[in-house]
Parts: sequence; C-alpha cells; structure tokens
Amino acid sequence: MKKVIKAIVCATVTLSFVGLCSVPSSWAVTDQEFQALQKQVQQQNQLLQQLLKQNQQDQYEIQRLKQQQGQTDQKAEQAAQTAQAAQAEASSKVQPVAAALNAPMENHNFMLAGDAEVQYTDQGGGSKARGSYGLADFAPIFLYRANDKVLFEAGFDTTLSNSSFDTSNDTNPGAVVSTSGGNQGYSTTFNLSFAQIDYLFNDYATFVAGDMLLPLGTYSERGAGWLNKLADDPLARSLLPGSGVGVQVRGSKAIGDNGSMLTYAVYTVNGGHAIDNTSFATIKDSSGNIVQNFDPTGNVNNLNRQPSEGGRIGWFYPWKPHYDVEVGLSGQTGEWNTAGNVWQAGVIDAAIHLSPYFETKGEYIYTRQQTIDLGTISPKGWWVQSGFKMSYFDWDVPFIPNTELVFRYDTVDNAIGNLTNTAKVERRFEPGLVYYITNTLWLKGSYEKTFNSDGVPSDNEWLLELSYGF
Amino acid sequence: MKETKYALGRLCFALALSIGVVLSCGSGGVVWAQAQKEKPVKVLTGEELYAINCSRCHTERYPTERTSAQWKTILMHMRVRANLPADQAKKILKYMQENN
Repeated sequence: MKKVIKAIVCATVTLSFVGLCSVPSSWAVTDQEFQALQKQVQQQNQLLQQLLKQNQQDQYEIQRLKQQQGQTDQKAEQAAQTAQAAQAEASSKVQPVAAALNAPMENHNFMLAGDAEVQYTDQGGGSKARGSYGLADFAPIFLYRANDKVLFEAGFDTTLSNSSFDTSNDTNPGAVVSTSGGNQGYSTTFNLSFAQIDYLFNDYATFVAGDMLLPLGTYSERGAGWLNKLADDPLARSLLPGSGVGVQVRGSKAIGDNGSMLTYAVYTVNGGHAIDNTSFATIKDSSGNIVQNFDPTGNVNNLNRQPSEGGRIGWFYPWKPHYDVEVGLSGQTGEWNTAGNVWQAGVIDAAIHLSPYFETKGEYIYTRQQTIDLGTISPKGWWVQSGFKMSYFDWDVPFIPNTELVFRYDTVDNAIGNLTNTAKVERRFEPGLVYYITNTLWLKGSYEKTFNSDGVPSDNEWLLELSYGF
Repeated sequence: MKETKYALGRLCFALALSIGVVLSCGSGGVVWAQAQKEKPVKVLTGEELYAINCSRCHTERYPTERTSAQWKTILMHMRVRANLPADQAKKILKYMQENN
C-alpha cells in the first residue's frame, strides 16, 4: 500500500513539476493560466492529503487485526491445554482396556477347506456285506479369520454309510444319526467334528475354546480323514475321545536354529461318561446285548460330577528338511460317573521321517477305568504305520512313481470283550498303497487281516477309497 | 487309593499347565537364548521351514493353490493345529505369499 501511495505522490509531484515546467515556448504566462495551474496544484495537494489519511487508517486497521489474531491464538492455546488436561484426567479415571481388535475389511477372510471320500469295501468270510460302497463322506472345514488374532474354525462330517459295514472302529465321535435307511441298510449322519475359537494371545500361547479336537496323541489333530493313508482308523483309537467341549491353552517354543521346537497343550473338557449313569463296566442295551458302559465320546456332554483335565507335551527335532523325529506324551483324567469313579488315559506318540520317501509313526494308548463290578480295568492298544514312496527309485515307468506303499499293524485290548461276546483282543495287519493322482486326490487301497481272541473268527477285508482334500 | 490316583492326575495336569505358563512368559526363552549366543545362528528360510513342517502330516500344497489372503487364514489354522512357533509360521506364510 505504501508503495502505491509513494508512486502516486511521486507521479503527482513529477507531473506537477513537469506541468510547471511546461511553459509555452514563448515563456509568457497569463494570470488566468497561472491561476488555473495554481488551482490544479491545490487539488492535487488535497488528493495527496486524502491518500495519506487513508494510509494512516489502513495502518491502524492492520494493527487492530494483528492484536485480534494474537488474542484468538491465545484463546486457542488455552482451549487445547484445557482439553489435554481433561483427557489426562479422564484416562486416569477409566480402567485400561485392550485395544479393539479391528482390522480393515479387506483383511477379513472366510474360506473352505476339508476333504471328501468314497469308500468301497469287500468283506470276506461270513460277512453280511461282501462287496459294497460302504461310505460316502463329505467333511468341510469352515475357517473365518476375524483379524490377525482371532480365528473361528468348524469341521463337519456328513457321512452316508452302509449299516452292514462294520464301523465300530470309527473314532469320529459324537455322530448323531439324523436319518435312517431303516431296512434299507444304510444311515446318514451329520457330525460336528469340531467347532472352536482360537485366540492368538502371544507368540507362545493360543487360547482355544469350544468343541475341540483333543491332543491325545496326534492322530485326531493331524492324522485322521484325508491325512490318513489308510482308509480306516487304528483300532486302539476307539479307546479315546477325538474331541471335547471345553477350553485349552496351547503353543510352542522354537529351540535352537534348526527348526526344532517344544510344544504343549493343556485343556479341560467335559469328560467321558457312563451311558446309564452307573459305575458298572458293562450294561445291557435295548437288544439285551452286553455292551461297554463307558462312552468316550461323552467329552461333549457332561453326565458326571465335574470336567476332566488333560494335556500333551511334545518335542520335535529336524536335522534337515524331511529328516526329523517327534515324540509326545499326553493324557486325560477325570470322573466318568456320578459315583466319582475315575477314567484316565495316557498316550505316547512318536513319528520319524527319513527322507521325503519314508516315514513311520505310531501311538501307544493306555487307559484305566474304575468300576464297581470289575474293579479297575485297563483297555489299551497300540499301532504303528509306515509309508514308503516309490518315487525313491526314480523309475521311468507309468504309475509306479506316484505310488506309496503303506503298512500298519494295530492291536487293541478292550478288557471286557469276553463279557460282551466279542473278542477281548484284536490284532490287525493291513498292507496297502496310495496312488497320488494329484497332490490332493488320492486313491487308497488296502487289505485287512484281523485276528481275534476268545474264539472269535478272524476277519479279512478289502478297502478301496477315493479321497480328495481341498 | 482312588483319591491318591486322582490327585496324581491333577498334579500332572498342573505340571503341564505350569510348563505352558513358563513358556508363555518367556522365561524359558531366556535360557534358550543364552544357549544360542554361544554358537553362530543360521536362520532358516521360509522355504526350508515349509519343507520341514508341512510335509510331516500331508502332501505338499503348492503356493499357487491359494491367494495371499487365504494363505494367511490357512497358516493361522495350521499354527494352532500343528502347534507351529509363531516366527516359523510367519516365515512360511511369507514364502507362500511371495510365490503364489
């Protein structure tokens, strides 16, 4: 503004000076011309005075605005200090809570995994069903990752099975027959295998709650279904519950720098229970047959006095990829009836891999059950299974490189078989093979030969299964 | 006798729980960390950890079979199911995501 005014003043003075100097060439100025010129100079002086006055007013206005801005800034600073003090006071009064587990929507994920099987069986001897498609199974696993710490997972098992086919060794617990084929000789079951919430508390501990697969050995968690290279479960797994309703803490800690680790899991679940709420080892069913009174699948409901406890501790040591050993010790203890009698189980599991081509794994299972009629009985059993992939030989022939040879020996002593008119001890040999159509589509075949005690005839059976994991 | 056996079972449970708490609190890690200081550390890659852990229970699953987001869910599931250490699970996840 000042510059403008100065320019105007300078221009005016210059013009005036030029005007004064602009005398006619004749150097003759009349009075009339002088007066006009004088009047013009006076007008310009007046204009100059007005501009100077306006300038002073502008300066005053600028000063006033600056002062007002300073006051506003001071008020804003005071308000910020007041808000900060109020926030600090509120924080000191409110209980600290964990941060909300929010994540961007694009990080959420829902997906489907699982497996499906179709099984064909051919039973020898005097079996009622010689050859039949004994089972069709669809077992999806629903996974929903709510955020980086919370995972919901639920596994279902929908099975259409031929009732004439002996499924007594099926360790899929809790199956409820939803529809029946009646005299058609088949049944359809819909089984909730597990439904649990996993909360990753930190790097070393995960809280699990719900209907959980139990870490009694490793078979239920890591060996059943599609992962099993033979079409049926080991006999001794029928002594143990596969899942249970309760809570669990589990985790692991890496040891050293070669990938080895120490793993642990502790849990409490509704324990197994007596079918009729008594403490007898056996009872008569509706058909008058003597059957075992203990229901290991009772981990789901609780008909005894209080929940059971269990856990597993394991050690895994790899010395290079595909060469490793793992051993584990697990167990569960708890009452199984309202009389306070105890059911306990202990499991030793082991697995070894010697190259990508060979593996052996197995479990030893020991249980103790207090009864009032038989005292303490001890059902027990064990199994060992080996696999050898033919791709080891690198033969350039069709089919062979995609084949794995499998063999399992398993045995069970149910301790009361002689009372239930069945074999007390069963021993089974099962050679088989897996043909890998793809890495997820397998064709399994095996032959079972079972030797029974107590004069019960031996069984033999062919099993063929198409299995797909997704 | 019955009570004694039952108490023994509960004692074992408490012992296992204590081990879990110790591991969770990381005090055991101090001992292991001190042991590791005495020798040079070779860091396993995600590919090596994948080969070590995943084929123990099932056939190889190729990284291209799933999206990155799906692998994140799968590895979270497998970390719980197979009790994988957190650091190993993260490295395997990174390997699967970088190669899908």
